[in-house]
Amino acid sequence: MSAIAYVDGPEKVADHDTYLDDADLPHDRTTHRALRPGRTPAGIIVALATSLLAWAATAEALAVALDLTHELGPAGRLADRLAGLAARPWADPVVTGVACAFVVVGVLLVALAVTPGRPRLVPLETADPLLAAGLTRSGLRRTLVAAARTVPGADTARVRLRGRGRRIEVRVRTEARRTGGLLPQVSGAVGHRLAALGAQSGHEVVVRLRPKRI
Amino acid sequence: MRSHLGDRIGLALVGLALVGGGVIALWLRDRRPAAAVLDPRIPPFLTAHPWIVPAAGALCAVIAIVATRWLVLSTGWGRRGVRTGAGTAVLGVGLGEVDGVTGVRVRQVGERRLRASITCDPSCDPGRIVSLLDRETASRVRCSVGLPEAPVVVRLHVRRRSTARP
Repeated sequence: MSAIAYVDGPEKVADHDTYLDDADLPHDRTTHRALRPGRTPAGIIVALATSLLAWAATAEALAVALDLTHELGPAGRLADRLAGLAARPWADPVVTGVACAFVVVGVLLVALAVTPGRPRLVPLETADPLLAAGLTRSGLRRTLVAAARTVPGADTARVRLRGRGRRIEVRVRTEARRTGGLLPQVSGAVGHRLAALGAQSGHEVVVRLRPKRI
Repeated sequence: MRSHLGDRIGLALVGLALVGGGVIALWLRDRRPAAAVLDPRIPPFLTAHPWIVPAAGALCAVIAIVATRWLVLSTGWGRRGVRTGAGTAVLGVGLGEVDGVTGVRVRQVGERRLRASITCDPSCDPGRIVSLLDRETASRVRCSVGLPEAPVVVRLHVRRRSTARP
């Protein structure tokens, strides 16, 4: 990962040392897998819809088998509507629309199932194969702000994670008139904190320093 | 060590079923545009074979039971686990030398895994926490709950403000 430091105004750009270069360790994949989102909200919705439909179909089949279709109530009305749909020809626009909706929703569900998704936690590097640690994104921002503010002269700091965490942007405001030494210090403090964490989220750190306006 | 796969498997199965149904319907639209969706030959066929409807009902009941079980598990049944005081105590002692750790909690999810949650102040160095966990604290927590081979998933959070008083 390369860290780049910028200064507003007369812009200075400094390539920094590599902080995170072990992202391809085999255990890192294990950590990513453990912290991957499980698609729970979509799972709840689809499971609820599937179970309701399946119970309704069971009730309908039972009623047909026992010849009780007139006593089904809401399930019977649903069955009547489905029977109305079943009486239409295949070329009917409603049938075509339902079929297209099936395909679109099905593709979306398969895509949800197979795409990894963004972990809610930023994976942290560990050596123990049975340990998966992750830091919340807000927690990463706060700890980097705290690291930047340890530098004398850095009065305020803001951190933003951009591009799914691949780019960490640190904005520092200072009242100091001379800012030449501040930029590498902030960059170093943030880099040291990231290196100590072993955060596997970012590939690039950008530090922007805004000096006091005269 | 993986996150829960059940929802993904269920979503993929339902999605494939929907895609399959939709594609077959579109194919039938091109092949037999004037034919009714419910073929007129089907009701007499069902009358002639009275076992089909109860069999279909049984199949629907099985699908309904599986889907209901999926729903119950998705809503968190058996996933959240139970708090383990011994694990929490061992984790607290293990991280005692780190300044700024404000809260620790360990939950045991069945016999499968442990979930730890650690909260610290912004001034705290989370890297030190991870280092301690990695070195020995995580294995001590495992041993304290009697699951020496259980995976541990740790959620680390940094509070907005420091709790330390001047």
